[in-house]
Amino acid sequence: MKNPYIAHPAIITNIRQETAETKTYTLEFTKQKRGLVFIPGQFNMISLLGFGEGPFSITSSPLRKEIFEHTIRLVGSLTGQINRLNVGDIVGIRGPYGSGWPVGLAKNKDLLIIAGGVGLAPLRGLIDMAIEQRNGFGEVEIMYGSRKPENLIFTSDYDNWRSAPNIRLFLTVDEVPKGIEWPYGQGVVTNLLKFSKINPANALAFICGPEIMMRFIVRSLLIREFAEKNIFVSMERRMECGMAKCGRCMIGPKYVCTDGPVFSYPEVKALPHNLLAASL
Amino acid sequence: MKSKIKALKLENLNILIEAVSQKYRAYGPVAKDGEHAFKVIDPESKLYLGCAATMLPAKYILQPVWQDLYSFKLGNGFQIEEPRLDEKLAVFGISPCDVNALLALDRVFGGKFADPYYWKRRENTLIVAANCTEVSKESFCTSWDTGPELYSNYDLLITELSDGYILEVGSAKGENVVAQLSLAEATQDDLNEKTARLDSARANTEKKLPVAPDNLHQFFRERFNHPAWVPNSDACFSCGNCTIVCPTCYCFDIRDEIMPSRNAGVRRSEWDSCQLLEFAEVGFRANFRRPRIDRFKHRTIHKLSWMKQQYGLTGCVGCGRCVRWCPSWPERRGRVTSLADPVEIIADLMEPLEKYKGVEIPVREAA
Repeated sequence: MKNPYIAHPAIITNIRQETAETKTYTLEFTKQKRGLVFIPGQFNMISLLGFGEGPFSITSSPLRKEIFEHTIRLVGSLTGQINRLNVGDIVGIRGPYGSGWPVGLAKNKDLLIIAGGVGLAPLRGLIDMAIEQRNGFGEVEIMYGSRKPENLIFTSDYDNWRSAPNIRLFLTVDEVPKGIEWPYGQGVVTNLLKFSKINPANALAFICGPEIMMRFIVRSLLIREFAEKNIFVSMERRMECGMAKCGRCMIGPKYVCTDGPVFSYPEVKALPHNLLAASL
Repeated sequence: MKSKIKALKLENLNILIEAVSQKYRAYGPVAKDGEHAFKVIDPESKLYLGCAATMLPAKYILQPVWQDLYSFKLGNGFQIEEPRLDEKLAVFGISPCDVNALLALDRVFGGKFADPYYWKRRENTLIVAANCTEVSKESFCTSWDTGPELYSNYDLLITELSDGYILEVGSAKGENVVAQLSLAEATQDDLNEKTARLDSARANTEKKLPVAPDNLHQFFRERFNHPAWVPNSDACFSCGNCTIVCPTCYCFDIRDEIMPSRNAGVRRSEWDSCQLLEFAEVGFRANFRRPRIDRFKHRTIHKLSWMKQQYGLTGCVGCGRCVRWCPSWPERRGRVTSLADPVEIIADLMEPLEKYKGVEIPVREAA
């Protein structure tokens, strides 16, 4: 019997500083010849021996097979240790896990991608995929909000995103510190929806961010006549195993690790104990 | 169908323990600190074959409280070593409810990511189950049909009679053990006594689930925001006893421990409980089930309804351990039994809403 708890060593080949507390790590398996085969929106368990394991979204494009990337914000003890790693260091990887964004359904559809803070991480692979396969998808609108301009991640990608045909990027921040030049929006990310030009009848909405943000985004989308089944959200929960064993990530009868983390809105609406629940 | 099962007459358990111990490390329910627990036994041991007799169910032998997933060396690279798990185990005196609980755990630890630690032990374990000729006042196995009699999924099955035991053989593994014992076949009188004893145990089981198992899903859907959850969860200590003693609870934590040498360590899994405050906590102390009412509902509904949705088997087998070991005394809620009792929780949820006038249902806040 294969042991699914065993992590596989991967070497850090590049580190890019995104914000003061967030970095993107480029990784490559040291032993496995086959790269990582995944769907955008899936996650890996990253392991540091002696410190533990945690679930992290894969942030690179699934079309780049030989390497993969993770974007990790310094939050607790494990991410604190990851933050201290250098190029050439080894981490353990097991995965990919979870459902991922429904890329099959999204073919030839317009995509409305909405993210808050580090919630853009699981969507970056999808954006890159939509750019690389520009003929496979319709128009793409990216609406991204953050606390301050300095908290925006993937800023080095924005020029590439903007220059691709039929892709529009809208930015907003809650707060602009004095002396910072900020030509974009200010306020919550729902404010950006008024710039949307895509037709909800032929579009899918992919959302990731704090639950309270997703709650209000979904409400706004429903008012704009998005069908419930065309709205997808990525949920966050604590996980130890990623394989529907440890029981931590359950929302009602669903395991976020294997049934999610990407759920359609009708699925998540029926679940208890989350801010998107219909019973709230 | 019953006549096809090989039924033998066993004068005493000790000759069976002796035969099993030759090949297996045998566990059985024996007295410990005024209670009973599964301990390693020998032919001299006195087994206590009561209804869900032990505080911890047999799950802890197959999914130990702590277990090493692998050991590792710190330093260059990523060096790990898996433990060997080839010991042959035997568990005596597992009651029918606990065997049914193992069937649920088989599904939890099976599936796409089958857990090799559980399955290696499971496949190496001889199940010597024991029918319950008496049912404790906390148990309601008859409501789930998980007891007091076991029909399948055992290697050997013991039923206590007035003058010895009936030993039934349920597998080739079991057959191998009894082959060396040269036991006589059980007589028709023995079989009749077995039937009479189990029928009487069934008839004496007073505790019943007030809702049919098939209707529980709908029952909890309709009552998810019932005010009865509020006083119930307010009286709960969140101690986690109900989950630790539950034979189908499986949640665990994974943590690393470093050896004093500081150049090696182990990655361990350890039982955890959804009733504890930190269970669903993530970075920045955000907690997806901080309110006690959320945790209380999660345990209750997961056991009684959601596990059936997830695995096709119920997460409650009616063993009554949570009823017995919940420390929240009945008076705390004007109850007959303890707070963790699924039967009483269901009964409270069936009360008319007027009874809970003035009870405020807390509004959900962001994690």
